[in-house]
Amino acid sequence: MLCRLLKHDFTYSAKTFLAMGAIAIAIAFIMAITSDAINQMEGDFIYVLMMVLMLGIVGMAIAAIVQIFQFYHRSFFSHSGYLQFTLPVRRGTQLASKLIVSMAWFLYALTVAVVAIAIIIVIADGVEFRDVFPTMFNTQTLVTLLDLFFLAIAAIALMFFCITLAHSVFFNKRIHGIISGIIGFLYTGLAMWVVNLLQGRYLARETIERIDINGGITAWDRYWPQVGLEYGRLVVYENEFGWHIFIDIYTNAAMLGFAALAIAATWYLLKKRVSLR
Amino acid sequence: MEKILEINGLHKNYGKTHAVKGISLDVEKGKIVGLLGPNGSGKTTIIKTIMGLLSDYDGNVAIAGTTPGVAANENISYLPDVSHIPNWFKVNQAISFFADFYKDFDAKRAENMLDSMNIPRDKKIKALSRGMQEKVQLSLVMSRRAKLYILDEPIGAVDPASREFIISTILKNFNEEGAILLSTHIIADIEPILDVAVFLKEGQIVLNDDVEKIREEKGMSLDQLFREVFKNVV
Amino acid sequence: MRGDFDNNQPIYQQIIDRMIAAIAKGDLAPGAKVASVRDLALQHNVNPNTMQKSLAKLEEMGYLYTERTSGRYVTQNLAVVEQLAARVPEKIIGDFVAQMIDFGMAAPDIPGRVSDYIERMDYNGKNIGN
Repeated sequence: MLCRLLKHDFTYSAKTFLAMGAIAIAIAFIMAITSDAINQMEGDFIYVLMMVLMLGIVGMAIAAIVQIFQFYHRSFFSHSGYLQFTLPVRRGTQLASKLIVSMAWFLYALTVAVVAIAIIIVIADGVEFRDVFPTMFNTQTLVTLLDLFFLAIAAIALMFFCITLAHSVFFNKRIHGIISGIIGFLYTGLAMWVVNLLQGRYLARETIERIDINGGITAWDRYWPQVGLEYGRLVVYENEFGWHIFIDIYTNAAMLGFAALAIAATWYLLKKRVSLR
Repeated sequence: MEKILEINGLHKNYGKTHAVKGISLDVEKGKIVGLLGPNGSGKTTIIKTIMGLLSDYDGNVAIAGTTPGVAANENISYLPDVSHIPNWFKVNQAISFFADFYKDFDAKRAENMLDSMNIPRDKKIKALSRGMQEKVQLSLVMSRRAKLYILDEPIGAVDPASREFIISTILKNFNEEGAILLSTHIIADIEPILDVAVFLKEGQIVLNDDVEKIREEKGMSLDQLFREVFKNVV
Repeated sequence: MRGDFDNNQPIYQQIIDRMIAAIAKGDLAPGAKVASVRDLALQHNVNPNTMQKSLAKLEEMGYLYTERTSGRYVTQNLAVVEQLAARVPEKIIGDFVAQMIDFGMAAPDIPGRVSDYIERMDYNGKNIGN
């Protein structure tokens, strides 16, 4: 059943996400191609362009996230809900399918963002194609992406919970939107507080030194990072440049934990407390 | 007589509104039961409760002995009063969708039905006229060999010519091993095919009887009786 | 035979009346096979249980019979059919006379009025003028 549902949910959502991705790549191409012309004008302009680009990428990421919530909402709480909830499919399977599809589209969005940036770098900055990925994927970026992934799981699970709560038996009126938003805010606040606790204020976080990319030398090229465990966190040592990066397993585990809690709560609501009006 | 649907003492509140006030009703195998009442009388609420779309209710509901939920849904073929199939589906896609999810779905039957209605199966549902869309939904629902068919306002939004056709289709595909519960506020067209009429007035059952018996005892049609019973209800 | 029954009267009785008329007229010949309950219900656009009730009553009355393996048939008993053929016009006449009397016509005047009317009918049975 899950496979069939996945197939259906993917086709249900594919059009929008693929279209968004295509638009983003197209914009990236346009920006990359025109940046040469812009480059001639003013030296400072390129930084403004980069800023706009960043905003564009962030904007698209936000749009993707919003679209994920729209997908969930539309599947269950629009007319389509009359179909979803009356299929001979368990609520747990339904929820699992929506989560998997959502995470898949999130990863897709990340990929599109990366490809878009790569296009800019290759075309606009004139970096050789085979150098792009080492340039972009230094350890810092990878760690950020990993953190982002766990944050996304937690955020998506939380939003699903809020949307489901708003359409549950507990709320009859239009203020459900506001109340579920408040609940989400409180839940997030609680989560952040626990995460800070786990991180321990007393543990200093080292600053990450940037590697000079223009020299054409990257850490991955020269030095094989040594991996060790320190204070329960996965630490990547870099001898020559002496920088440390923490992959914070505590935070990521907490994110996963909060996601699991939100998912369990959503499952309960879907099973026992749904109210489709 | 095997009871396909049993409802006992069903109460449902929407906040302060007491929408369904303690109704009890049974649907036996092989019967076509009409849940009749004006808009807002509670028909859709009762149906949603049976379908598991409303969780908090008081009372007992059993479909072939199972409480509303996923197991019960396997035995129910449901036509809601809204268009619930994604309308960017092509008709053929909708058919494969039903085939994918419902074990008792007869794709050939659906295809034949749609062909006989001259509905192009390779077109998107949203490209069809409203009447054709309704027929598509109905064909899919009636092509399942389910125990209980629930049709919520199957003829409500359709022109009179299509109504007759829809009623014929319901009759033609009626599965005698099951039962049909249909709700409507348009009585005259539907009454010849009903076994039992249940009048629902402001959340309560005011009549639950064999239709022929009503004709014999009251000497009037169901439509006439309906107008009398509900004449003061807006 | 299509639907269009009078919803103000029990439908099963109307079905019985119609089928009796068909047998009397010969539209349903003696020994002819009667369609299944389902098919008949569909033809007439009525509930199958109602149709079943009508057919059962007709069997009870002796106009139909069931062959266990092959289905329902019109009675082969020609005497019964002839009796029916005689009774139907009788019923029609009865209803007609009652209506005329209800209208205020005197019973002895009725045959005269009927003869007049028939004289005015053309070869095909249509009234050609007043």
